[in-house]
Amino acid sequence: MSATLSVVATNYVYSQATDQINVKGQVTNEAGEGLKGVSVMIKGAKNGVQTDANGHYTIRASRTATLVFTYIGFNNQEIKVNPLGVNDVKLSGNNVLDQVVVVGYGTAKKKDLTGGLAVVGKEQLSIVSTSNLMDRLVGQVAGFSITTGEAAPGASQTLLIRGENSISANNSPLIILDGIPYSGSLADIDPNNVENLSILKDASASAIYGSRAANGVILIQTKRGALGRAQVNYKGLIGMAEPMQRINVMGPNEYIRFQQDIARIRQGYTGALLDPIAGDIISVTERGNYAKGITNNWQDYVFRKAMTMDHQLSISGGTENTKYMAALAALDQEGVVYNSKLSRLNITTNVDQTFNKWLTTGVGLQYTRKSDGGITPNLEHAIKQSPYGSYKDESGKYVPEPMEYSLIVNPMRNVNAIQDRYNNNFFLSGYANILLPVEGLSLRSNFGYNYRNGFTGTYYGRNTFEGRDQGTQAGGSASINNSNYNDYTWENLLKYERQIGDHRFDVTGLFSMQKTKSWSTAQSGAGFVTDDTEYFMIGSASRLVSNSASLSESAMLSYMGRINYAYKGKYLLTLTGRTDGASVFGINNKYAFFPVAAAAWQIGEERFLKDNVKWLDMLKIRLSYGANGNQAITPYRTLDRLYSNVKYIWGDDGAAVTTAYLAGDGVGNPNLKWETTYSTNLGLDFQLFNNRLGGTIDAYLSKTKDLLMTRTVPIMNGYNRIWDNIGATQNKGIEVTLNSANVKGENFQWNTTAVFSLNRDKIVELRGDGIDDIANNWFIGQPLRVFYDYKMIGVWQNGETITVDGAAPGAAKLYDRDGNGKIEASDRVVIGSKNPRYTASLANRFSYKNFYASALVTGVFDVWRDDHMANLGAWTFGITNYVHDANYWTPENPNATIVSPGYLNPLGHGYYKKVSYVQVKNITFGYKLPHKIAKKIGVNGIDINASVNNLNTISNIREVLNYDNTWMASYPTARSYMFGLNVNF
Amino acid sequence: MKNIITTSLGLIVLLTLGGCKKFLEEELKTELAPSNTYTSTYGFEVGSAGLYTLTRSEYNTYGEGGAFIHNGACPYEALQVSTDIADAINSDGSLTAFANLTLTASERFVGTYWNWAYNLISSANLMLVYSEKNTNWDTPEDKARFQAEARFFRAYAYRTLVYLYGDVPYVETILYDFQLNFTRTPKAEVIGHMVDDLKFAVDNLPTNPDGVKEGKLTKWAASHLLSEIYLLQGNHAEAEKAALAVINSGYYNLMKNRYGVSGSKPGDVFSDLFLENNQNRKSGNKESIWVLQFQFNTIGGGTNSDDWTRRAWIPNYSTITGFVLADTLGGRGIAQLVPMKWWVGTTGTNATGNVAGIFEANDIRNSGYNIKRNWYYNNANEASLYGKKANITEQTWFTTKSLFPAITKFFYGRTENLSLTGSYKDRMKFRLAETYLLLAEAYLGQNMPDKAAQAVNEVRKRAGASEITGAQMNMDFLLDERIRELVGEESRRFTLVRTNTLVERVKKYNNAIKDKITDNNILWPIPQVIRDANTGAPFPQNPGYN
Repeated sequence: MSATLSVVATNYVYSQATDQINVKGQVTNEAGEGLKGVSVMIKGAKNGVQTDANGHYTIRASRTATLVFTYIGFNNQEIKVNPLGVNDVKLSGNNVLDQVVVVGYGTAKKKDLTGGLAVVGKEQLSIVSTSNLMDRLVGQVAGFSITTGEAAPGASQTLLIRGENSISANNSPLIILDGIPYSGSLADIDPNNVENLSILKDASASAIYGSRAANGVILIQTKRGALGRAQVNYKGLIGMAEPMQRINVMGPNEYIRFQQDIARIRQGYTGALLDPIAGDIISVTERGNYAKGITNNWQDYVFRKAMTMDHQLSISGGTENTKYMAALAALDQEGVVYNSKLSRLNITTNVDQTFNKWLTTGVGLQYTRKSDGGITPNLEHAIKQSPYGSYKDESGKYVPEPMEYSLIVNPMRNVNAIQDRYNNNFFLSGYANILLPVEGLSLRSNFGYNYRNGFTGTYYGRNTFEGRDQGTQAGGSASINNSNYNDYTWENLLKYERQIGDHRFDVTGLFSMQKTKSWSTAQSGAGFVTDDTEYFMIGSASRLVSNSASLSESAMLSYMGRINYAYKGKYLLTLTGRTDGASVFGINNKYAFFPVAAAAWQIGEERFLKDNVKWLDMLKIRLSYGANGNQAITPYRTLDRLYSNVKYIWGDDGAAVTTAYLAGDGVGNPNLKWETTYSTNLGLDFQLFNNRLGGTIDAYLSKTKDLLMTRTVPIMNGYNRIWDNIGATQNKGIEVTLNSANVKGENFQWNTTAVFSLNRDKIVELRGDGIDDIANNWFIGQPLRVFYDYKMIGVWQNGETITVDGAAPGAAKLYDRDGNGKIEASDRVVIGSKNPRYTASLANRFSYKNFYASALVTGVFDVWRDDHMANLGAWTFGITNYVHDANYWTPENPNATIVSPGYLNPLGHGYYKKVSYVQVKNITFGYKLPHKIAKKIGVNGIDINASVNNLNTISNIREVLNYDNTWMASYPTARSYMFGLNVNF
Repeated sequence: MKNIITTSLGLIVLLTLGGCKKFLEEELKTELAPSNTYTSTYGFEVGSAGLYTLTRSEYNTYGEGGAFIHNGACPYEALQVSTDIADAINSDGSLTAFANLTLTASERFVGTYWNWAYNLISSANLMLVYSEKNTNWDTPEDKARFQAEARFFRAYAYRTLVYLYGDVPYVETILYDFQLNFTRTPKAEVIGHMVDDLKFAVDNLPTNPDGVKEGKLTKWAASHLLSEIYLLQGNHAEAEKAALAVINSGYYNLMKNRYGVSGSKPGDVFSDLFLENNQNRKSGNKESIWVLQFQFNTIGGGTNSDDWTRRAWIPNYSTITGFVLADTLGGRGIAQLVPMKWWVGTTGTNATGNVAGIFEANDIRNSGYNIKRNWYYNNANEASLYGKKANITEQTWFTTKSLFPAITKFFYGRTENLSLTGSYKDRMKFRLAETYLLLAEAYLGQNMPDKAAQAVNEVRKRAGASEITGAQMNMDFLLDERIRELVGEESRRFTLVRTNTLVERVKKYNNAIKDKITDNNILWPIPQVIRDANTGAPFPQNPGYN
């Protein structure tokens, strides 16, 4: 039942005169590999050493001393010093149980947890080889969904833990970086610096952050120094990426036939009018290219193969009193769309210093600088462009309107613009741990400061469409944006720990304050003498000069108390209570109180199970119930505001005057207050079959009340939108995570992790009167985000009996709910939820001797999305290019699935599809150089690997570039082939 | 013990540090608020300019620059179709339902016009509320003046609502505790309030148009609008008085001679009225009473989403081989609206039917400068065609819409950007010619056809058309005269609804829908969003819609 390891230790005596001898040895595991970081202490003394990367240690101890070996995940061992020098140590324990995890304000052993949380270890973090932290987690944590709406390098993702609770307020989880709330972009964090990551999902785990934890909490810990010799590590990645797939558009001949179909059916043209050259179906420019046989494949111009290079160098080490870590990383990533790129520089350092027995402090600094400017082409205009449109003219300049259509223009016409965009992110965290004179009492003070700024300077010169000379008006258009953000957080925790016999409890009290400030300025102007000065002479702009600035501030104050109680390590109880005040709420409602209670029972330790059921290693049941809050609305919603962004002018040569009027949402609600989520979580943690199979099952039910929403009111009130606390929603779901060690041989191992999440959300109540809010698409009893529209159930065919007014063959067949032969507002139905019904993922890891491989597959099932391909009218406006092999209705193609080009969609209904997609997220092969060979080269370890990300996606919807966002022109998901090298010195 | 005390004291200090209430107070520094804007004359100037901006944004399509948006290409054209002047053939999807009378309560412009009007009303109401509270005025007349402007715009917005929807809720303040139980106030009551508002405006707006900034309201603009509202109310005697007040004010006269920016370019006085920068008084135009301001490439002068009326009335000539876009030809046209044969006539074209049209031969409003019938190929690269006359045929007029007799009022092109979508010409909302025609309508309503004929003759004289007698004067003739003088400028739908002639004229002239139109089509439906949101009280839909 327990893992055993054998230790081979040697020592030798070099002085018999003193009592102190040098004890040397090696701590290894069962497989004979050295264990790094085992703590070797002399019992009763404070000093000790740690084993190095290979498990070797040297310690000076007296002949009669006892050595204590401790290692997280294993039981302690105490061994008397062997005067001859061989110290065999047997450490036993359950390494999974004893895993230390980061929880709110501290760490705990996994076995002691009462709340629901998921820990992402280094192995899971490194399975996907991209430079974006969140990309590495997609699909790997039950209940944690990451959607990439915009797949450009450095773009942020949408993170959701256990579905959406709030309809209008922000649903993003709270991010805590090294103990300090962090509001910056996660794309700024170098994934190689993350030691571990915990996702806090239920009320109890996140209670300690009560006020903003209704959406869950992500705890990120940066690597810090450890006792031991300095270790230097290099990680490198190099690779190539391309769009995972393109939109299959019509070829030239298909396009002409399509235009003829449109003209025939929609405009009634016949005969000569349908001829490409003599008729009126394509523009004059296209006719010219048609006659000469010139065609263009527009996606070739906007997509490309892109290179990525990522290097990281880190050094860490420490003595008993001082521990340090420093890392430097540089990323250079091209995007798969022309002109998109990201360069990122990360500098991270931290120091932990113990001054004396009661004072320990630490300081950490992280600095990230990103650079990613560049005007990218408009993908929609490339996809919808006519194959006969003109790309460049004789002098090589981009033709502004390739098909003479002002709504679909040359996608590249502004790419020659200059854009410099820089972002700096400076994050400072510090702490002081003070042991107070009362035993068991300690004070910890955390301070965090984050400063971020961004600069964007854009200049459209005369080689772009935007900045061209226009007759007497000089060209060139410049704009400069500066944005700044800073926040500081100061927290003070008082902790009291005590063990009395079988009872162990700790009490924590917290006081915290936070202030944020965000301000920006912007300038723009047009008409410059020369393009050489770019945007740096914006003062000399001759027209359209405009300046603006903005400011947003917020503040929070919090008080919290938590009690953790454990009896015999088997019966665990946690009680938490937190009061928060936020500046965004009305004067009477700034504070709210959030209590949580949780209990856990290590059933597996009970005699009746431990002795009788041999295949059960661990079984724990957890139950929690409590309240968390959400205050994530923009500031100033309780105040009345006037809209003054548009100016007016008096006379033909007057100067612009400022105007102000009441906007549709200009009236504030002084009674706004906190949104509260009450959630219940029941969890089961288990380990079976000698730790061959383990996992977690969680079931939860969350109810949110006093939702922060803008409600639509009749505009006759003077405004048509106002923020209010109304309604209630509910989320319930099941999460299952299974880890299995399928094959555990000496040379070959195979592990699998399967994750499954199911979440059902619904609106429980809106305004207390049981009436649905059709204007906002909120229906009681239905999910939070639904499509509500006329439902299309097919296409009317020739010869079919048409049972509704106004329909004709080729038109969309709409569902006539009341069967009265007319399609009207009462026939609209709820089509479906915009959130998926299930998500699942499967990760496999193999290792054979020094080779290893892994594969990750993720799936999203049954989510309703806009089906843009089916919406022929909105895709083409009746004029542009369309999708290859589209099965649209014509009189000659009567059994079509897509409507006729002549269908004008008078009701303006949408087209929807229930989408499921399975993505092969990552496949990796790697090789760890054997230790002996590495030693010969002079390094401690070398690891080389090759991987492919986003290999392919299988789905029931086609013609999308990014499955998380079915808009046909969203930035494409990239398939990347990467080669990586890790060297330990 | 000492340790415990020291510890506790230290903790207490830490705890009290954060107890300040002010820590959580918000200060709004990045937006204007009514409480810091409507506190001085300058602040009210800014608010009043906001009302003009909202009014101008009726012509905004896609909301560039953050203005109120219709988010559709043809908002204003929706007021011209399904009447007797223009057809919509293969036009923008946002317009088709209005032309075919298939519009529903979810139609885009049905909702956006309602929102635009109530937006204007609520901003006016907000100003009125704060004007009562404010005591810090530069001069004692300021308060009344700003109230007069706000009340004018309130009446102006209700005018659109009443014409389009009939009975609409009347509100005169901001309801901070929002209500969901509005009811439809009868049209007559709303019109009564409008008259009160305009009478106040007439009494308190400035008298001398040369003493205010170009584009600002004067007492005469209010009087002109009052005249129209009296007509809507059926009070013809008062309408006559209000119109006469403007005509006899001494500040305005019909332009009879060429003036302004035209210089010696070919044209006539009527076409001069519509040249860029020729609408304001400073340019010499004494006929315009109220002008909405636009200006090309100037901040505050509108954006490329503004005023797509131009694109609607100009044929799509650039699709014809031999033509290229040109500012002289009006720039880029999409022909969302195609003029009907019966009034514009087929003379000078190869279209069928030999229709005379409603203009006399000498009428300058029908000259080549004002209705373009002669189109010449202008693409120098097509040598065989260049310079030759292009024929308007039945096909170019009604099928491809690439060439037809086009009114030049909205021609707008800049050589620097020929495919400009917007137009930056000032719009004359009220001009004296219309005041005469309103006067004529007032006389007709009082059964005084002779005096009506006299009023109409003033306009006809300027145009070079023959004078008519009282015997020839009737409502049909007046409606035709309004086409001759004001086609495209006036919202045709409003005129026909006011004179109760919509159904009759459509049956007579609009072949596409003459068999379809009924009395139910006189009003638009109430927007579905409003009916969905007004859960507290019944809000009946207009008959014929559901």
